[in-house]
Amino acid sequence: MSIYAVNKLCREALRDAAFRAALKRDPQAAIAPLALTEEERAALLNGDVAWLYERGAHPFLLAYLTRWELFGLTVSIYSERIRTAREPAHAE
Amino acid sequence: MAEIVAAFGVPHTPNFPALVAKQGPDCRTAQLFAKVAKCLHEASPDVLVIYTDDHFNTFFLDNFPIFAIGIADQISGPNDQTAMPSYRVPGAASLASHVRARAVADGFDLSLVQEFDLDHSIMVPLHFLTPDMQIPIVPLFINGLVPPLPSSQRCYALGRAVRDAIDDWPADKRVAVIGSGSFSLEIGGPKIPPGERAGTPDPQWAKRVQDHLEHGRVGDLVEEATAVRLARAGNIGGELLNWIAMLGVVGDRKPTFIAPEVEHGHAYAAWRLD
Repeated sequence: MSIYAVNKLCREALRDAAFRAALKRDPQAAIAPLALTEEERAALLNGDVAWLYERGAHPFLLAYLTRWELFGLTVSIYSERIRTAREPAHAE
Repeated sequence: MAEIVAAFGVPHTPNFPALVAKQGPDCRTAQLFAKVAKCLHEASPDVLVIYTDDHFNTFFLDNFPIFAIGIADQISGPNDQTAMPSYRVPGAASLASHVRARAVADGFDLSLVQEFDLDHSIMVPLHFLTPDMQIPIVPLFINGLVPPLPSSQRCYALGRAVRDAIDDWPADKRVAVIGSGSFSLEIGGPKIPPGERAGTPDPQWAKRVQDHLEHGRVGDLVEEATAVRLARAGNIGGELLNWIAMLGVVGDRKPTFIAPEVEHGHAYAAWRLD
């Protein structure tokens, strides 16, 4: 359930200006201490929001990343990528 | 005994305060909120019971209640960096405690929350409806964002239980009930339009909800608002549950005022109940 850590990262990006600045400056170093799988780490660094969404990252939280264009996610890139995502397993 | 005098339904779109500050009091959003505010002030409530869904601000996924009630004397917000003034609003702790005891006795296990602040979902409506922040509130939280959501039947039944609790609150107070949120809205999910971060994927559903509201067809609305239907309306479509709980005090009565905003996936509505 480490997708929880991805959701939490998005929330901390909103609430913690220092963490947000660190994510902007050196994303790889900023997420190094977090309890993420290697796949999640790679997906974040690649801005692969469709992959994260399909594994349970909440879209309301993921969309925060566009506010500061973290992990290269402009609104336009984010939109293009998330629109390719399939519904996650919990959806009916 | 307390009297339920009115009910209201409004959106809580977080950019509305900044939009209205920019466009002025004649813009459509300001006018629609002003109409609801006029109905509210005519009903002259002493307390507001407000159903809403927290957006990972008051709660997070480490502890995310299906239903919760806030019991506090003073409540602050917004806590989510919404571009709007910061407020403190009194909490109606005695009514909240009474509602909690009655609801639990009726089988609705409301989580207790006593040290908390609120996000845009309550503060945006209050900013427009009661900007002097003098009327005490009871916040009732419904999970509308994190599947699995509570069923529409369960939310309507909660609304009926809360109505019964207000009805026998031994205080000579006038109570109004507010439900806040969208009928169709997708934020950050696959149903957003190209180049955007949010959109209204299902205006037909928003229209249908508005028709049911306008004609007092609460039974049809509750029956049709299944988990699958809400999900098709967007990942924020579960906010309709706040309205459905609010309708617990309305039943099949028709609104005094309703303004559909189909293309935006929400509506503004008021019911006088006294």
